[in-house]
Amino acid sequence: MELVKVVNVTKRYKDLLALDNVNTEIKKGRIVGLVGKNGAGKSTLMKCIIGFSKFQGDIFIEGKEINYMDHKVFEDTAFIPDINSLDGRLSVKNFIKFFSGVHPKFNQGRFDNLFASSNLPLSKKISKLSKGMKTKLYLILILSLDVSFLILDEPTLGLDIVYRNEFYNTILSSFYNEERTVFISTHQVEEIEHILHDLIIIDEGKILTNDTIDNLLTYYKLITIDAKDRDKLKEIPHKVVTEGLSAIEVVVPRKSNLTGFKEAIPNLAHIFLYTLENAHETV
Amino acid sequence: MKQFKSLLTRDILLNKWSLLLPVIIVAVCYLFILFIELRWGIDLENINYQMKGANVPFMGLVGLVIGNIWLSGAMLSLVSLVILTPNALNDNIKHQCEIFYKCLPIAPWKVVVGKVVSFILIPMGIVLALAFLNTVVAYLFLGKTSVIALGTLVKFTFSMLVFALPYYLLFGSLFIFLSGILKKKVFIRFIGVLFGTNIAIQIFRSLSGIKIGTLSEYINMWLLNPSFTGSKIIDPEKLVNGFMEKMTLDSGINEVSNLVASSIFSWDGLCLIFATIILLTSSVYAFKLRKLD
Repeated sequence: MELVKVVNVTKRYKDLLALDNVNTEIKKGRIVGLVGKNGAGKSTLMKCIIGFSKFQGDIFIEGKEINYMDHKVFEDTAFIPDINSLDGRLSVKNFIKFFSGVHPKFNQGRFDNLFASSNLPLSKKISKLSKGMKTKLYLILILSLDVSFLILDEPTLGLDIVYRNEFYNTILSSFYNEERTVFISTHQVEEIEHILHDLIIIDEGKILTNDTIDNLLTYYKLITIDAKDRDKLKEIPHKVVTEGLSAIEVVVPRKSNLTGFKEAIPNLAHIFLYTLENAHETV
Repeated sequence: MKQFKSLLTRDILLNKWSLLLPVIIVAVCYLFILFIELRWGIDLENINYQMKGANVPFMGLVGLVIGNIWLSGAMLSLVSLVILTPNALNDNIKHQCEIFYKCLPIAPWKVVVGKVVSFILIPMGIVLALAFLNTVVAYLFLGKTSVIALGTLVKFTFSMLVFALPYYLLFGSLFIFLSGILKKKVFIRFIGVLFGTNIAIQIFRSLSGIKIGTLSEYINMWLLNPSFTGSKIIDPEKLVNGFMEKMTLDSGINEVSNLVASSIFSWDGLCLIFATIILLTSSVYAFKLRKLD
């Protein structure tokens, strides 16, 4: 069953067409990745979904139409835009008090459990925390909410690999269950592929793919061919992902008639690159 | 209610030094007076006031109370209208946390009402408490043998601040509204435009010779006798003549207090409150619909 339904959504910024008649959906209880190049329309789509941007068309969350700047969306949806958007003027203790007071879905018990192992200094001002600590605090607060929909817009931008890894693992272990949906945008698909159920690929404001990871992996194969056999690729849609002196790795549709080469399962980054290059081909 | 309490607590915590400013100013004043008293001594008890030929006893005390009201008004203007309300709704933009707060399920009207409470009503409460304290202290030290009752002085102080309330609400709401539509520092821009226009009118008047009032003249006139209807709320001359001729000083001050305090319930007072409500409602929509950066 779909949680979010996007119907004929178009968004323009003056001369720039940020979303071009987008139709897509996000299913309930799934972890969905939204990937695209910089400027592909990821953040714009997310902002439209939560009502932060005006658009033409319709968006529904749980059947309810989204209105522009409607705070009620956030009663059951949490959105992490950027770790640095926390209010640096307050101390950690006062910030937690404020957050627990204003959010009707704050679960104190779950927060206490998560916070106990965090080693965050209560008396320190948020502006004095390191980026990693801010991430931890933001994550603990968001994960303490009994909301059913979590939207993350490039949440780990600027974080080192240790915190990035910890961030996504915590979401998986402490937040996600079959009643909850997570929608993550990133342009680094490799760091989220291990947790995703579905993938949406967006480019130039158009949705190129919205499918399950299991399906996507059956559509493509990664083959290794000799460089001298390169001419065989001319007739079929493909994407060269690694190019060596003697051999090249190429993503091709699984149903293509290229056989007799070493085959492997491509990763999502490969599929993403293939999709961008062959946007007009059908698999 | 829990949400509203959290919003108020946050605003108070973030602005605690601004809210404490009147307390600090009054404490400094006390220390200053104490220093003068200890160093040179003061003889305020003997300060009388000549009014229309009559020697009014303990006018020094009354003068202190009036001075106290001026001080209260100045402190409230500084805290509410200069420091707090001009940046009420755009402070989060300045501190780059607007998007975090916009992602919380808080109704915009709660945010705006929270600002009115913490940036206008709470400072007014603090200033009023300090004004009462100052009035009582002045009375205890200077007015033991006064013909004016302590209750009369307290009533006078209270009535003046009640009288001021609609104006603080009106101007505070105007600044809150401006902070909802302007993302940068509101006060500086607003005052800048006001001063600029005022100077332009003055230059135009002197060059053209056309009799036209400047903005400051109109504002002064309106603040002294604020009227939307043209009728005067307070006629100082009538008042002074009234209580000098017929009444004692105590009953005269009582009369002034009643008249001043009841001005809030006049048609003009209601107009001020109505204008405040319109500005605050506009602030709610301005804040709600404001684009994120």
